Amino acid sequence: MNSVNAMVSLAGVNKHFGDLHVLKDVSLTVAPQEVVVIVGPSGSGKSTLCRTINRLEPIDSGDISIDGEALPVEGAALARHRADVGMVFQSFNLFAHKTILENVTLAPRKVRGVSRKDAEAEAMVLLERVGIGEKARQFPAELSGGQQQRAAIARALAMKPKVMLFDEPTSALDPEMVSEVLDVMVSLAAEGMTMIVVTHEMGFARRAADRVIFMDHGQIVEENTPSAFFDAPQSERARSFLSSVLDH
Amino acid sequence: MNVLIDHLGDVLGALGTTLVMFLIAGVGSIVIGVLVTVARVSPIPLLRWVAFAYVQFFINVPLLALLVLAVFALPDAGIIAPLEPTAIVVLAVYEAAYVAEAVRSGVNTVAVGQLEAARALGFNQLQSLRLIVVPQALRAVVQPIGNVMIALVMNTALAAAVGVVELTSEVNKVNLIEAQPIAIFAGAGVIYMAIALVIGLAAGWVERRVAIVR
Amino acid sequence: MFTSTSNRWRAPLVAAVFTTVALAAAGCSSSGSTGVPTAASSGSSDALYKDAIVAKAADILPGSTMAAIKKRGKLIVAEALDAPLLSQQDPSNPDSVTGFDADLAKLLAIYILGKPNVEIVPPASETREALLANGTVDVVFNTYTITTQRAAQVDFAGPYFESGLAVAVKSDNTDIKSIDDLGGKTVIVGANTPAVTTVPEKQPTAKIVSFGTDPEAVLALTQGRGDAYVQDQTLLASDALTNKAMKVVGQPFTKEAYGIGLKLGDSDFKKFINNWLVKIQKNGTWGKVWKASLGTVVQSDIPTPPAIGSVPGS
Ligand SMILES: Nc1ncnc2c1ncn2[C@@H]1O[C@H](COP(=O)(O)OP(=O)(O)OP(=O)(O)O)[C@@H](O)[C@H]1O
Ligand SMILES: [Mg+2]
Repeated sequence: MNSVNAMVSLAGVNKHFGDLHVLKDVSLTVAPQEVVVIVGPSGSGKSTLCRTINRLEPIDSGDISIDGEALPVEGAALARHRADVGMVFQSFNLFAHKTILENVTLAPRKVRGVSRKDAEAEAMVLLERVGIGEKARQFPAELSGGQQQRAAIARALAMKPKVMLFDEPTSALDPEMVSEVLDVMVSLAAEGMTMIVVTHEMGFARRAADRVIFMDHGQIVEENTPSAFFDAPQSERARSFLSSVLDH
Repeated sequence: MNVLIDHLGDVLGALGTTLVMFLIAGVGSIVIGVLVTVARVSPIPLLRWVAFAYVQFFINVPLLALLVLAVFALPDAGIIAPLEPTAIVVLAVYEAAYVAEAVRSGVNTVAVGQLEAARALGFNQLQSLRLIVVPQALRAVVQPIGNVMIALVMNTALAAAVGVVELTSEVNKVNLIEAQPIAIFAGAGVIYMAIALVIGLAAGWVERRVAIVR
Repeated sequence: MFTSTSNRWRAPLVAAVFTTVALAAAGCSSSGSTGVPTAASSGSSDALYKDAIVAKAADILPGSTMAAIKKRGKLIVAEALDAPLLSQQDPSNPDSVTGFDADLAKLLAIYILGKPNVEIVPPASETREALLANGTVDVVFNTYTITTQRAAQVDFAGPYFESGLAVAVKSDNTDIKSIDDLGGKTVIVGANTPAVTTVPEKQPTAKIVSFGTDPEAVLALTQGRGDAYVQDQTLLASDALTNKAMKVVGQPFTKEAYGIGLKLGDSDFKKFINNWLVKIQKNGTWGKVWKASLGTVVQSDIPTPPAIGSVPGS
């Protein structure tokens, strides 16, 4: 697929943390409605890559564009751009002093200028959809981890993003809550959302991903369909990574 | 309770002045203090520097010196304002430095993830501070701000030195007539203690109400 | 009488500010016992001490306060360090404290001890009764106005001096000629001075603004924060002498009788001091002390000293 009709495109992206070269000339194109899963060992740069896409991490060189538009450096344009990119964090990051409903309506109201009434109606639809409509008036700390993460997904969806980024959305969850979050993500994928997901959940990758990308030492080492990647990894590094994950 | 009762009308009037000074200066100092904190954590270096200088200045200059300067130096610069408003403004800008220090410590308790989530949703810097960081920071420092407010009540007594007829000045006057300093100043001390107690209890109540469940 | 933090500072304002603060800080500690030992001081009053009278041994009754002071070897006096003409510490020589009150205190020390051995505890106006009651000081020389209310808390020897409140205005003011013209006007007074209560008695419609120190009150007057400044006439006279922006108008409109504060009920000590006062009045010492201090700014002959026991409360 060429970058003209790509939803997300990274070209020659480099990023350092001090002397540490965290992203090395990374190029990646994600088509509209495509679901890309990123896997790789700890410290390989998956989170950093994810965060550069909405510029939570600035980059040293290279180009990033969303839906054909280059990523602005800062200011109002960057904020507008971020509003179009949904992000779900490992640690949920729901606003602790706001109810679930306020968490979901705040950005549509303050960033998009949606009326409170419309925002709340929309939020209730989203909360019902992720299965926590009855929690709307409660505070984040009153919810289980799985419920909080589903609320966080609803909060991101309320902005009607063009693409959703997930950085290990189930890693902080107790095992019994992982599937309730993954189910929401699978249905989101089925509806055609463009998604970039950092996860070690092979089940999710097999069910929902169009493509799996394997990163190591800041580079994309291998990319393939889920079944091809998991069943027959090409590189030695991917093979040893997979065996270590599966042995686990 | 003692000779202060014999001068109840005047003492209550002066207590009213003390409370009015406290309330206006208190609200003012919290507003200014929050603005200074916002400037202090803003991405604009000049603002950050100005806010830092503000806090350092007011923390390192005695309040009495500021009161005397405002009352006696400003007229030389052509600004002659009534005494009580002058004292209130000085108290507000002075205590604001302490409020700013308290709020800044509250800002440090706000998890980075909260700010990242706000940025990721498309909030600009000011929105992130106003909607997320400051409200959470304030909730974390209700007690410290309560302590600043108690200090503010005590500091209103310094306004007596620049002509404001508040509680301390009135009590001095009563003592001038009655010459019973121990009974009179103990009585005044009890009144100040009662005010401090009320502020302390109010701070505790507010803290319980706004506390963030974690 | 004026507050113990009054001070005749007229240097540039910033210096004034920090002086004020320093004085305030000093004020805080003065309720304790920041004793300032004073040796026989230098200055114009030296000659006074040489032939000062000393009490006969028979006058120092056994077991009396005088005997206790004599045994201790020093007289502990509550007096100001910053009251010009009355009790002022020399900034360049802290051991030298001079003025009408200070000199009398030293003469009293000589009368009891034979030498001017005085330890000064600077009082706040609010703490004088307590300092006497708990025995921190032997006597108070602090322009201590004799009132019946105070006389219920302390004994007063004297009166040893009479003064009164007068009115000062800005030099260009021609409307105000006396206390009678202050109705409805804003009147500046010193905090903790008799003017705080006297002015409303004489002029109920006057608005009172009080300031902590004399220089502040003078500044407030010259900056137009009030129409007049009511204060002890000698202090106003000395202010006006060095500040051309203000002037004293009319004659004093009150009579303040200053007494020497003593512990309540010590009638032997009170009698002893009253005897001394009579003696120094008679032998001319009192007049010389006045001439060397207050007499330097008040353009008049030596006044007649007040009669001992002449006011209620003494
Ligand atoms: N803010 C930072 N400052 C300095 N170094 C950082 C920072 N964030 C990440 N790094 C380093 O950059 C490298 C890549 O980090 P990154 O978080 O992208 O890895 P990851 O692939 O997401 O790992 P994990 O699976 O453990 O989450 C690591 O070596 C990490 O220590
Ligand atoms: Mg990571």
